[in-house]
Amino acid sequence: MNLQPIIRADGLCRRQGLRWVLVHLNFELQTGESLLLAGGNGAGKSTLLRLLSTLTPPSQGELELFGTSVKVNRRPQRNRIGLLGHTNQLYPELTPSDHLQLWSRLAGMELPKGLLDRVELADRAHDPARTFSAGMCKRLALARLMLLNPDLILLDEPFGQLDAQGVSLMQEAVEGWRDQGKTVVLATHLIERGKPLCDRALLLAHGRLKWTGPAAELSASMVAGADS
Amino acid sequence: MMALLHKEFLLAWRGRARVAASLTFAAATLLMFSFSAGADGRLLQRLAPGFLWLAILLASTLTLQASFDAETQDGALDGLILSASAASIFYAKALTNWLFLAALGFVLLPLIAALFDAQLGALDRLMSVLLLGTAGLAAPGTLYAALAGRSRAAGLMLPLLYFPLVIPALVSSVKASELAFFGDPMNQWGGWMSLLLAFCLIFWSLCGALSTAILEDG
Repeated sequence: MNLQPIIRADGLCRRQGLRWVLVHLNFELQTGESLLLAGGNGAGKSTLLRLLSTLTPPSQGELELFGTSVKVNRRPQRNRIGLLGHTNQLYPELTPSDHLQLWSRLAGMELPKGLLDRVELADRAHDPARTFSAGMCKRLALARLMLLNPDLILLDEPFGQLDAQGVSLMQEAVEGWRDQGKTVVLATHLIERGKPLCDRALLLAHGRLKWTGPAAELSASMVAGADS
Repeated sequence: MMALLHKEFLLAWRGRARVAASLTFAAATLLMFSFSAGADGRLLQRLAPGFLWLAILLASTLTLQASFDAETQDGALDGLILSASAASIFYAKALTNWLFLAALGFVLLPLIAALFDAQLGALDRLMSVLLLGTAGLAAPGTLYAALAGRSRAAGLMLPLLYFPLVIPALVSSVKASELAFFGDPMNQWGGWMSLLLAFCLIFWSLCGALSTAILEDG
């Protein structure tokens, strides 16, 4: 495994209004590693993912992605990042087919065949996304990541809104990325689902790093204890 | 840029009910203006250029706001920012809004002629004013729609920010339209068009430069 840090956070802080939502985070993630972000509601998981996606800049501290600070040109980094956030980043009026064409054209790549089959949306390829359930929208958002196949994959509550079939689809996708040597950061409060998919875990509480170690050692009681 | 433009046109086509609503709103505004001005035919004719631009301006708030609603409803803007530059996202939207507003202006011309008994005069000049004047509205309007879209009171914020800024472009458009409607014995039309062109160049370059600061998180 190539041990080049893909993420290096040094004293990373983020303030929203007058409140500090992330306080002095220090951690590194090597290429090919997968990280479980755990913590209760409001712990700062989603904010950290937005920082790692470069969509939100740090208020203080240093964040390096792929060996380059996010304070310089972020475009080359963004081309290598995929984010599945709280929202699915879809246009309600566009169909899955429209979305895939848009994403492939923006990335300057050919649209591979069978992508909608993989997320089990082929029979709804020409229906607008506004007619979809939340789980179907999440599957379409997953198809975006499968299409772009980025080096750093950021997943915020990836199992939320999915049925059992959708959950196994997501798990298979994450395992596939890990097999390809991609780096995955997965934020979830369903830690038992996330643990088998991750090498390391990082436990946040009130924006602070409470614990870091092997994902297998993280327990629900540690998450509950960190919040209190 | 072409992919973004294609997406904008596709969104406009799929959301054509909104386009029709903007057109109906502009036509209804003109109708109200014509009723409010009374039955004096000469007064109606004199007011026609101003009312045309007010109808376009008011209807543009619906179009501009709708163009960013699609981006914020399900966080699509985040995905777009990861894939394309903020400036290209802005220019694709501004260009689409411009084309729509210009088309709206062309559609309103026959209505103006009918409701205000206005002779359309130099149609080529009138179309030039519509093209340039709507460009002067589209760039700052798109930028402020993006800014207002980040606020909870987007519908309220947009006119408050947008109307004061476009007054110079609006005044130049009304003056140039008056000269196209009623004749230009003093050859002033070119001067107003030059002024309008200058506003457009400033707005389109300045708004493009500011788009990164507006579209991305601070």
